Amino acid sequence: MRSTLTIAAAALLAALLQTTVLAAVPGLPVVPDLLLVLAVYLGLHHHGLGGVTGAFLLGYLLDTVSGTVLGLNAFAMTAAYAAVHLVARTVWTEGWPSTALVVFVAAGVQQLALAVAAALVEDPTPVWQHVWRYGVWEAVVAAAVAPAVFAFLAWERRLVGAAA
Amino acid sequence: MLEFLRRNLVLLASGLFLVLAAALVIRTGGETARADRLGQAFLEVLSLPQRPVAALDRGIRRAERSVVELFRARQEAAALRARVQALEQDTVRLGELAQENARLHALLDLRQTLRGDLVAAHVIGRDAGTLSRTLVIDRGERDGVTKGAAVLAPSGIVGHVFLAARDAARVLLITDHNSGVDAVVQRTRARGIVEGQVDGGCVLKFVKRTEDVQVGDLVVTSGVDGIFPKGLPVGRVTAVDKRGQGLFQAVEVTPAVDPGALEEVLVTRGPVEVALPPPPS
Repeated sequence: MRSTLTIAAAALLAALLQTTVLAAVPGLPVVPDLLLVLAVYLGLHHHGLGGVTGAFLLGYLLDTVSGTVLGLNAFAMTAAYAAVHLVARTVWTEGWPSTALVVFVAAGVQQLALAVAAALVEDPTPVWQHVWRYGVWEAVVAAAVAPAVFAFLAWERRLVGAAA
Repeated sequence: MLEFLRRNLVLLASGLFLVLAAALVIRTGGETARADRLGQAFLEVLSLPQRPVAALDRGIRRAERSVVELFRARQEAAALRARVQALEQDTVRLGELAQENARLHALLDLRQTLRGDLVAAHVIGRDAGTLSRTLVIDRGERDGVTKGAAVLAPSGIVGHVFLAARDAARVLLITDHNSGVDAVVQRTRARGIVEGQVDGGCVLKFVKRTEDVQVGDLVVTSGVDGIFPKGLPVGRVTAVDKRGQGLFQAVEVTPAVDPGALEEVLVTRGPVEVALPPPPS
């Protein structure tokens, strides 16, 4: 319950930041995908139905505030979660360098999944163009902010735990 | 089988969610409007903090813009202040040039009224003491300036050179107490010697009591002393006193030239005389 609360609050905050402050920063070519970092967090720390449901809902939340096609980000976020889950099962992922690397990989998977899902209903060329132009940058930025987000989640969990 | 399911529960669930998401994509892909209740709920929840955060964000950006604009305004103000200073300096310099131009014009006019060899000089120094009244000019023997040369200004005589160096000369002003200039009252031709006083004024000495001298009379050079050309202004009579004993009357003269304001002068380089205006035809 505490974990769910923590993730829900963090997701709300992430969506809030992505749709207000970060989206309005002038000259920022890409917006850090904090929701993806949360999905990676779930993939690394929540190996169960709750984790995958959370990732789906994170994507769904992103669909609510981004794009017009419902399910695109839900699909991509679930795919990223599954990829992270597979990685976490085989590779040691503690410490901020490996965390950042996992987020970088998850960002790549997310974008590929996004392009695949988009191809189901529309011409995927614009999505591929976006991936080609900004994919690496988005992955780098997400990886860069990941340690901070993970630290915030750890702090938030302690806070919620202390309050409970 | 159960073990496989348990071990791969997450992947299987992920697969299910992927299918669900793909179904959502396919279902809503062609639609121009969405009506998902979960999305509406998310939007509703998110919009609650979005409003104040967006307002705060706008406020911060506005403040940031204000700070940037303030900074720019300060920079512009500094640049404008510097520009104003430069322009003020230009104005002062232009004013100086205009005044110098006027003075040089006056000097040129004087030069045209004289016949002979003259050279213009700048005043580059003044007397170091308060008893004597002398000037230093930037012309010397190399320019043909010799001891005894008359020094003139547009409004009258200044003094004469008493020491000439190679590139400079010292001028004894007519207001110095050691100076004596042979002069006449222009109106009555009453003759006397204009001598300097320690207070910076002049007196016309040796004018007979019988001579007609009045306040306001112009005193001009007589040309007899061999230094100054005849007929140049020396000063104006400001006081006449005949009450004392003796042969002469006391005549106070205010010099035509203010030595303190002098910056350029003409120096004679030989005999000079005042050119008479051509007779009316």
